[in-house]
Amino acid sequence: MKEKFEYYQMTVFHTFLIILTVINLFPLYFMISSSLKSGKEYIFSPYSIPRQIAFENFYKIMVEHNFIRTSINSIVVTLSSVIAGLVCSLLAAFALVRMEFPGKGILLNLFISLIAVPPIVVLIPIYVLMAKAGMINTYPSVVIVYAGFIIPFSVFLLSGFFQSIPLSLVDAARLDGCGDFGILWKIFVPLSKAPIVTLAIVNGLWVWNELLIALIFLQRAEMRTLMATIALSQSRFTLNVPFMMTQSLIATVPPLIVYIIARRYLVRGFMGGFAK
Amino acid sequence: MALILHFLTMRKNWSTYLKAYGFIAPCLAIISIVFIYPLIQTFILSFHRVRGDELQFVGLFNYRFLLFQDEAFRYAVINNITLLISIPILVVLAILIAVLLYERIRGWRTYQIIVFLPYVIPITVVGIVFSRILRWDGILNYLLNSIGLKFLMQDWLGNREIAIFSLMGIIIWKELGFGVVLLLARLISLPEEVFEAAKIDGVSWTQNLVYITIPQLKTILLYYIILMTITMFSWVFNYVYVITHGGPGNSTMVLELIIYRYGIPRFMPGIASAAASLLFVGIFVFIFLLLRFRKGIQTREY
Repeated sequence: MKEKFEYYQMTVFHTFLIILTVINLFPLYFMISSSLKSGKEYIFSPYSIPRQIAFENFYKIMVEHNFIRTSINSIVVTLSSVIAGLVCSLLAAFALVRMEFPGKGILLNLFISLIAVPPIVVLIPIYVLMAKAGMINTYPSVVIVYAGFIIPFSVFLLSGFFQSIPLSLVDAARLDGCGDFGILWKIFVPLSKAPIVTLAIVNGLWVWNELLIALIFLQRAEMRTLMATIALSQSRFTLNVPFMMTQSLIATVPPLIVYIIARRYLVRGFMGGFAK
Repeated sequence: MALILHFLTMRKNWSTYLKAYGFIAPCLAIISIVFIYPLIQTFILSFHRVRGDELQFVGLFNYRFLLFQDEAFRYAVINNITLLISIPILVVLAILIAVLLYERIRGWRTYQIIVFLPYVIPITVVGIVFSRILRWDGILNYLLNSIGLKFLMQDWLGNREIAIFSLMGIIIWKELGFGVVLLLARLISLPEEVFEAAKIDGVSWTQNLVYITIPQLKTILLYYIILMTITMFSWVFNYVYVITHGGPGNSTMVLELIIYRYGIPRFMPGIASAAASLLFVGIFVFIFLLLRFRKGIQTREY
């Protein structure tokens, strides 16, 4: 078989990718290594490999009040937002693709064009609305907002994917006496595993890492998410870099694990569904 | 009206229609709260001044204030538009990396994991880490100094002229992975014959890239460019908030931060809403221009 690349091209590409690797990995290395250093060691050699592993930062974080509570907040908010957003999107995408009703085209276009709406544009009126309803500092307030921002892109991706599912399968299921819910649950959902997992990863990462909405709607210290807590404590601990890095590391580990477990689906989830 | 008429004439389909609306209802309820009501409200508020519970109509005052009197707003518009420079860079890098991964360059599995890594790391964390790296006494300057490029040393985030570009670098670093995944997915879903034919004809790798691969990616590239335009206008708040807070001075101010500052800490919802409306209109103008531009290219082709 003929070589795909010329020799010099090969060298250039590998150099490029290796530089990229270093640039992508260094911040991660910096975070991990400084989180394991004591404050003193960091001052003398900020970029070296830690000579002595100091667990003082991890210990301090566990003692630092509210840290466990904020982690729980983040987990609860992320899981419920992703589940709520995806369930709504699945139902809507199914109806938009497989059912006939007046206003269908308008609704599909409406859902998709909402991808372009920046969060900040809508947040203040929602804040006023939630404040009137007494929902500030409650989980449902952020879950509704996050689910809202999950829906447009998810409906877009899922409806594209649903269109590629052959009608014959639907007819066969109907003959077997399946209702609409049955068809959605037993045929569409299993066949759309890849995009569903992709959406769960992408949206889960977004919610977990999101700051603006979290800062606005969850203001009481014990309701704050992990990200908001870290962002707010940044100025307080600016001098203690290892402590900040430890916080950061703890916040990064859960998304990293989810990504490593589910990365096989990531590319596949985007394969169907786009206008070809 | 038309809708009601439609209902009356096709009464036998009522039950199926109702079922369909039932499927859509949860989505519609959330979207009404999160998008439709707030968008209308923002538009109305932008013509008012809020004093306690009272709304005072002020006409175009809020818009005039932002456009002609607020220096920070001007900086923000310029900076948001400056950030668009990152899009061609992102597109070129994403195409290159996606194609290399698709052709299974040696070590592609490892590269694939590493390329997507920044996308996983929270922006807050990215901000904290890069603030350290880009300081005057940070490692980037240390490296530049030690390889003899002392004249390139900068206070990357503290220099008014450069801060926005440093910020752009960080955004590119973080957003690149998503583009690669998107393009890679498209490449994999293409039939292989497209590429086989070219190989037999003996075209070079670069020709293959320009004449065969990139045209196949056209739709997804347009989609990616639109998504990134939206990102640069309305999803950079987190970066700015964590890394520079808009400073030094107003040199990294962006529209989202303006809306945030007027809306929340200063509680001037009228001005915040006017800024939000302007941002919203701006995005749609840009997307419209992009689509027009694309149509222009297509009509020239055929």
